Amino acid sequence: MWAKAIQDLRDHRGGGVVATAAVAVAAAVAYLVIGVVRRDPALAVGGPVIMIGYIAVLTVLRNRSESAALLSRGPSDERQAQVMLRATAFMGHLLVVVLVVGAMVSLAIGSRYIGMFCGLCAVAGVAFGGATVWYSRRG
Amino acid sequence: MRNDVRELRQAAGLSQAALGEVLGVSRQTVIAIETGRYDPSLPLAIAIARHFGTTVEEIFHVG
Repeated sequence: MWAKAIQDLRDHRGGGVVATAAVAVAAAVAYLVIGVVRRDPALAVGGPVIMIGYIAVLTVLRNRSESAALLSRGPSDERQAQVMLRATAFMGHLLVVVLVVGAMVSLAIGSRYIGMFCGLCAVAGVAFGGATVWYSRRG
Repeated sequence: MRNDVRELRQAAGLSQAALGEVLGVSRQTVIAIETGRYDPSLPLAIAIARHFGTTVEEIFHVG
């Protein structure tokens, strides 16, 4: 069971590198197109440079740094999967704090972003509740 | 959790990378297990024990 799970992860490792690069390139193209359409040179040049630079740094460092390897090709064993889950959970917690604080501040000052913050808080709450039900039923 | 993985690996003449290759985990994960920073899952603990021809409780010590 364990060996098969690891082999499955390894079989998809190369795909992870390609997928990460593909997403970054797609984002770079999107920044470029949006920048051109909006006649915003900073966005048209800066966005692609940041995304391509990100991939370049990961490509250079992924054989020297475990963190870069994780960001580049994803986890290849159970500890690395746990690292990614913790990092994802941390990111989620931080985003929820930002959303809740944003909603409270918007409500307090009557900002026009009340709907956006409250809507995103609702999405986060429903997603968390739904995921809890889903994963608790899957063992 | 304390463990004897480092001693067993060294006695077997294996590098951390070689043990990781055998177990299907990264070298960093072997290091994390040896230093007690990471407690392996039950399947991985059993795989380690089987590789060294012993039992899980002989390698991993609670407390």
